Amino acid sequence: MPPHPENTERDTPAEPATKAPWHPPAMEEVEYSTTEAAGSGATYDLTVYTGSV
Amino acid sequence: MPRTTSRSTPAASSRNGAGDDPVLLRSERAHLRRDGDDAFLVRPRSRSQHRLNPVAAAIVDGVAAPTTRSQLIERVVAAFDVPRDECAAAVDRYLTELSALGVVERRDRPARDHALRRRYLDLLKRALVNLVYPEDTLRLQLARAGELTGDDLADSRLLRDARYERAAAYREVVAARVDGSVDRFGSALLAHTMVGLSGLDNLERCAARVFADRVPGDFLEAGVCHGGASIFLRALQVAYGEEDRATWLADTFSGVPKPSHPADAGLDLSEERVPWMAAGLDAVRDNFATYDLLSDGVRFLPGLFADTLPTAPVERLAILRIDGDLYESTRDVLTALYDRVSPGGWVIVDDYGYLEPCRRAVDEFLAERGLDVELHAVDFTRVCWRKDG
Repeated sequence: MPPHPENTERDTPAEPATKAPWHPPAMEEVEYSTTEAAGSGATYDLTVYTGSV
Repeated sequence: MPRTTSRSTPAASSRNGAGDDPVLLRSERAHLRRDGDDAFLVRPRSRSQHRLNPVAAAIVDGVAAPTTRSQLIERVVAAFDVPRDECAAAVDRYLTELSALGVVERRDRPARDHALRRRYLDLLKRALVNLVYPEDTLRLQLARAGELTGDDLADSRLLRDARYERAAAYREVVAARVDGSVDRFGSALLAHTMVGLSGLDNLERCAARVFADRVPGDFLEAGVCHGGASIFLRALQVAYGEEDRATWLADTFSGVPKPSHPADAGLDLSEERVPWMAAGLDAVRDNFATYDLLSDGVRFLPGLFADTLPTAPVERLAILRIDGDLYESTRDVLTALYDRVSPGGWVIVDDYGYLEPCRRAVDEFLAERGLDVELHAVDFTRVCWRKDG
């Protein structure tokens, strides 16, 4: 397997492990887009489909 | 934000087991999607998507597996700089909000051994998806890419610190092991399962409901690869005291068959093309033995699904997990086994979003049977549904 170009570069070292800053849990509604799964009429969130074989 | 792979299960608090410390469990109608540093709560049936801040994401991720309120609070306190009382109040408020959206289910108070079971299953998940030593993927890649210099001292330091010296690559590997996707480094190669924490969490949620609702039947995985998901299914039976149920493994144990149906044209995942997706029966048995989970309750059905499943001595199933990749394989499983799934049982399909032939097989089967099921997205590819009575 040839090296992936991005994997031959040195990455920035990770920050030391510390607790993350606190903010009360919050969420905001954002636009949702879907692709109708053929046949079943079921809605499947294909916006998260990112894979490839 | 801290990766929520740090699913440290804290020691049970004094509240554990109390009536105000219910077991929390995420609904199948919602899943957590990550996109870089962003996290989203996705509810496909409601066509709704929310962007979560890091604390909200940690809470939604924290209820991916059955977790008590006190365990959830301990986990958030461990990750974020907040006093416990302030955290508890905020978590309670957010859980109320999530419950109103139907995202969180509350189950009866936990069994006395809940905390220990939580620890065992969480550790097992991390081992199965290779989140215990994920940097080994990077070490292998460093060697294959010729990045070792031959200087023993320098190479040893690079290999020792691979996690930090290749931090971005490390994060990518971890992210893939969380959601069961494919990274650039082939980290799935070094894991006993490719389904990721998201897939194993889904199995646990389904099993917990099956056990609680006394849904009869065994568990069966069709298409097991190295056996990791099946190992976890057996572990669930053991950990919940449901060992009378069997775990069945159906597979060629020689890799994905070459495509022969027109619907599978071009989808060759056979051993000749993807050798790491093929595991022999002995290797899978050895993997079970590695986790000390090989027993008479683990039963193997070697051969093509079309040959083994129609006559398999499986009477009833409470969980049917399908991971056959191909259209023909998926159809063969559904045709042979769907009627043996108990009412209230769960059907899980691994490749629905990832592989169009698999999706087509499922959609056609449901349409031909006139089945109106509520299809839940587990993650970027996996779906499940509960069979109605």
